[in-house]
Amino acid sequence: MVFSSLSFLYLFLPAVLAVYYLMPAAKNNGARNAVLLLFSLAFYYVGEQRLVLLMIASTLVDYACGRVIGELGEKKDADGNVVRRNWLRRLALGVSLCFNLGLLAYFKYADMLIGLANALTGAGLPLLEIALPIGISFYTFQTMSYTIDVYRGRTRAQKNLLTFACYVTIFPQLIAGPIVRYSEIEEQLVTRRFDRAQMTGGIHRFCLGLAKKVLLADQLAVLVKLADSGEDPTVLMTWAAAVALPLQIYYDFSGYSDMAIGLGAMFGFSFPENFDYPMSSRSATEFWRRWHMTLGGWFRDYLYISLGGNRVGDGRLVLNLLIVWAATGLWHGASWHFVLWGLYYGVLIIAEKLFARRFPDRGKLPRRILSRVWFFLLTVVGFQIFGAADLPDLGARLARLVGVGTTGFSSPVTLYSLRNDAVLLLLSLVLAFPVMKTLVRKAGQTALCQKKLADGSTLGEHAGLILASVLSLLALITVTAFLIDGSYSPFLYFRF
Amino acid sequence: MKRIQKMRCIVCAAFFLCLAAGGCIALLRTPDAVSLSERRALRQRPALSLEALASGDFFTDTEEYLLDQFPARDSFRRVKATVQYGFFRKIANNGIVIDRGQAAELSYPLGDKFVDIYLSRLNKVTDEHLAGLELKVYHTLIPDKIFYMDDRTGIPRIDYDGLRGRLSAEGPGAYIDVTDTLCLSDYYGSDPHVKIASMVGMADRLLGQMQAGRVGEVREGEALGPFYGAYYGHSALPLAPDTIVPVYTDAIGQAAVTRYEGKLRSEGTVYDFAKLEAADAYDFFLGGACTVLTLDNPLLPEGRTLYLFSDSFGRSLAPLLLSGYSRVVFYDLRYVSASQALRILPAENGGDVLFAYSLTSLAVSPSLRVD
Repeated sequence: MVFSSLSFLYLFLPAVLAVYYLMPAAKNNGARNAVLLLFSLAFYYVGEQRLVLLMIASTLVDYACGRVIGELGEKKDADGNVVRRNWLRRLALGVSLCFNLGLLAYFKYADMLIGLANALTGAGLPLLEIALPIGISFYTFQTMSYTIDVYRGRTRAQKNLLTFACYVTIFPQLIAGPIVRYSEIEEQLVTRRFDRAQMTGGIHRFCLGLAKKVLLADQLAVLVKLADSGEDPTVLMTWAAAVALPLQIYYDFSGYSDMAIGLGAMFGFSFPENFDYPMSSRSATEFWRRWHMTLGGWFRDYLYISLGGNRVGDGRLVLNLLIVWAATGLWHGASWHFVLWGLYYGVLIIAEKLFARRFPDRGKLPRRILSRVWFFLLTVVGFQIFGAADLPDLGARLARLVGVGTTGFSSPVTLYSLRNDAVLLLLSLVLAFPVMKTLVRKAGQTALCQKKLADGSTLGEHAGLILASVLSLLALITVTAFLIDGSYSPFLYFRF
Repeated sequence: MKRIQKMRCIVCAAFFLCLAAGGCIALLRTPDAVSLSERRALRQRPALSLEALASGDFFTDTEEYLLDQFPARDSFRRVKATVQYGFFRKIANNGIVIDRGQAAELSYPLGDKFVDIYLSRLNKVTDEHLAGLELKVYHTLIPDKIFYMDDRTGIPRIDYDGLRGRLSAEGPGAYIDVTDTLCLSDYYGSDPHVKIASMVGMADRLLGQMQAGRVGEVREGEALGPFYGAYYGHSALPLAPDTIVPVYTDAIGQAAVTRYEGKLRSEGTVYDFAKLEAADAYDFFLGGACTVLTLDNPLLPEGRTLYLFSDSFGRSLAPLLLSGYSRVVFYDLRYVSASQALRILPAENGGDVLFAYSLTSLAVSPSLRVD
């Protein structure tokens, strides 16, 4: 089930909200967590049927490993001192990592590894062609972060299986993130309460995400698809689609994250932010601080730092960064062009780390603008790597950008498509930068908005609530209209 | 309670009620059987079974059911069209463009392969099925609306000059160009077809080129309607409905229509007034789609026979062409193969053959059955 479907919006969501809030919040939210767990399993079952068992198995294994690491891995000696049985703790951690990475290796990377083996040895092994379970990359990374954090002593093992299962399976972030670490919502799992401000904020955020996904990403997808079809391979069309592709993926994925964060808020959770206007970045380092922040944070904390982080020599630093970025690319898909995509950013970040020290950014306006434009061009090229079907397709895409393999600079179809999508492209570009955020912030700082009302709230709060609610209602109506009239609606991050 | 807290409560309740009401109404209402605006059957409530639950089919079927049966569905479709045209300033919604109240479907690009297929299919009819007969063969193409639309709309259009060149050089018989006999307002605003009264000039051109006289005096009947054409539902916009104005010539007034559906034969009429209430009121002309039908003109008993291979445009054109012939035999190769059609009513020496297809049929020429 996807959020941008009528069955989710008009059947599943009201049902889960109604049953959830009919349950008492007492006793560590046990009843409410049980409701969330049952509905989350149902949510996953709708999309994957029997593979829900895989997620349940992952939950049970990591719950058991966490308990072993956190409790059985420690014992008291005769003097009452806690003694760690490190072999047992390591064993449990190893089981957890092997199980989760094994799931990924089998379901996601098996054919890639077989292809590699065939290429190296000529063995001709048949591909397994296993369907990728939805969200496996997200929930395995979440559960691994849990067992690693318990092992590192950063969080306590959860004793309540229901609470832990609720954490792993909770449907808002189950299939496309953000990657929520256990430590981030440990307390919320048992203490969260209904909060009107959080709930209304969640509703607004959810509707915003829905609009980004359906009204922008899905429409940009049509333009990208037209260019990919090869029916009109002109230089202008290639560039239009090349600009549209990162915007499409951005609105698709950040829209999903907004919906997840909004839904989380409706149930009293505060999920971490996942995007912060990455298209406004001026460097690859900044881009990855703003794009899929929870994944970047995961690799930083569990891989990069484990490899030694920054506290190593330049040579080792380069190696560490290449490993991390190859892994980041590989996380996105079992294909070599994804590895190349990761390495592309890895190389940019290495260059920035090594050379930026010598050329400090003085931050003058023309330079800031130029660096944004320059990095946006690098992003366009980077997402050509991301959007390619395979390496030969990548070569053809990059060649078309410089006019090789095109039928000319423009054509009637190109001009029609650009005219048809001009407002969409322009709007998508403008909204990818924090223009609205700045305007809203500045409006909120005006004396009029700061004016106190009789109940102690400000005029700005009232106006903001009314405006956001009206826009949310309009977004919901418009999205429903677009869904009913059958727009093209793929969720790109499902394949991860 | 603070006022702002009350407002937040209202927002939460309103959001929940909107969603719950939409879902409940969609599930509880009696499902519609068909969408009149889109002219198609709608999904019905999926059957609940263990197999359907286990395979996941139940969930996909439920989603499709909701998409088809959501309350105020047509209004939501209209909202989408309005947002596309009004907010996003799109030229087309669902492939439909609008210019001066005329809705049209994008026909560009038209691949060469479709022209190849079209020509090969028509030539196969003359070379194989009509071979050995003494017949004069003619050929015309009825342009789509986009040909007449304003350049400023930015709508891409096919290269008509090039297409005409290929059709006249490679098509069967003599090509008759009719593009200058029509203009944009000659088409129904909400439908791809040409108004019958506006086809008189085209019919005169065809009859003249086929040396079969003229249409003669034409009297217009009472405007009938409202006629919601095929694009009315497709565009999802509140286009103004059209009216159907029947025309009468001496031949139309006296014509005898016979419809052939396989071995069944029935009497028909040039104008079927009962069909004005049908899902597609364009079936008013000759009673709707039919594999083979004949129109006999008792005013010209010794005249020639015209064998007309055409599509739905031909149902308006055939009655006008009847003025120049004693009989018009209309074959619709979208519904019957050429060999079957000519078994039902074989062509005979001395007649004329006219292929009169619209650009729409050319674009879907693989569906023409010439076996």
